Parts: sequence; C-alpha cells; structure tokens
Amino acid sequence: MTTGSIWSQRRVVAGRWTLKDVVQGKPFGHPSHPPFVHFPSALLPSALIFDLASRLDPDLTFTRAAFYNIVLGLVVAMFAAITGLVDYLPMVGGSRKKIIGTRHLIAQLCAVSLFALSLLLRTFDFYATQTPLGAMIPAVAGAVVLTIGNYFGGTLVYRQGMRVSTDL
Amino acid sequence: MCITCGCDEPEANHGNPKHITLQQLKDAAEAAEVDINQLKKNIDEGLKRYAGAQ
Repeated sequence: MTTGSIWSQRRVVAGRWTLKDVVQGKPFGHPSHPPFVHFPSALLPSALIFDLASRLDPDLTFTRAAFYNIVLGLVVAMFAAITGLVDYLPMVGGSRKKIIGTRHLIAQLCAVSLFALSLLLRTFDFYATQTPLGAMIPAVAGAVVLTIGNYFGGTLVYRQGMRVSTDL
Repeated sequence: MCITCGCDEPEANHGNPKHITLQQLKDAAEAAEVDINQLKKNIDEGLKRYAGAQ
C-alpha cells in the first residue's frame, strides 16, 4: 500500500509496525487521536467559564484557573494535532473524509490560535483578579470555533466511521 | 485504503459492510483468477460501461 512519499513504509517496531502505525495507535489497539482531543475540548471552554466567574466575583483564583486551563489545553492540543495529522494527511484528496477533515483541521487551528492569543493577552496583566475583556473576546471566539471544529470531527467519526473498525 | 471512501484504512469497513475493503477485492481477484492489476482494469472498465465513470 502506498500512502505517499512522506510516510516511510519501513517496519520500525517489532518488525510489524511503521512509525505512522505507532503514532496512529495501532500497536495499542486504539486510535491515538481521541484520547487527546477531549482535554482541549473541555479545558479551553472551561477557561471561559472561569473568566465569567472572575467578572462576577473578582478573584485571582478564577483568573489563574482560566490561565492554566488554557495552558494545559494548548499543550495537549499539540498531541491531538500530531495524532490527527497522521490520520489526515494520507487520506485521498477530494474524498468526502478529507474535505471534512480539512474543515476540522482549519477550525481547530483557528480555535487554538484564538486561545493562544487570549493567553498572550492575559500575560500583560498576570495579577488581574478579573480577566480583561480584551482577552475574553478571542476566548469566546475560540470556544465557538472549537465547537464548530468538534462538530466536523464528530461527523468524521460518528457519521463517516473514521477509525471505526475492528482493524484499527 | 478503504477502496470506497479514501480514508487510508485498507481493511476498515467503518462498521458498515457496504464499504469495500482491500481484502474483499483480493478475494474477488482470487475468485475471478485474475491478478490485482487485471482486477483494477476490469473494475475501471465496468464502471465506465455501466456507471458512467470517465
């Protein structure tokens, strides 16, 4: 099977798995992308909830909780991005799955970028007890775009059956 | 790849037996006593003749 020149077909693990197989989670009998996606999907919007709490009840605890939620969400999002790209890149161009995958990819990239911007803006007033509105705006936009991206990801799995198989 | 959807999962039927897997094509080639290249050619020709493929 040829999946493009960017993927080595050399078996590197136990003489059975390629590097791509390992990143996709095949040796573990489970797709590797899903365990990572839930963390940013939960942590990033949760930051927004802490932001709202800080506006209602100014407290450093809320702003710090929001800050570290975004940090952790972005860190895990990197692993989600790597495992997702390994599934996405070999898809056949023009196929329905790749079209939906591209929408999912673009939306999640935008969402992560918006939250990264929000994080950057928070660092200018690290000891604020209320999240600045300027930092909340990209977070709100990021949460909306993230939800749209999650919708496309869900479509890939639950409707298109991506990585839903007895042979992972 | 799963022959019908472009997913790069050759043996995945995505939980729906309507998807055609690589193994099914290999089995079909064996049943027809043709190699995989001839099978590809036959399918291509069949789709052109009967399904309007270009």
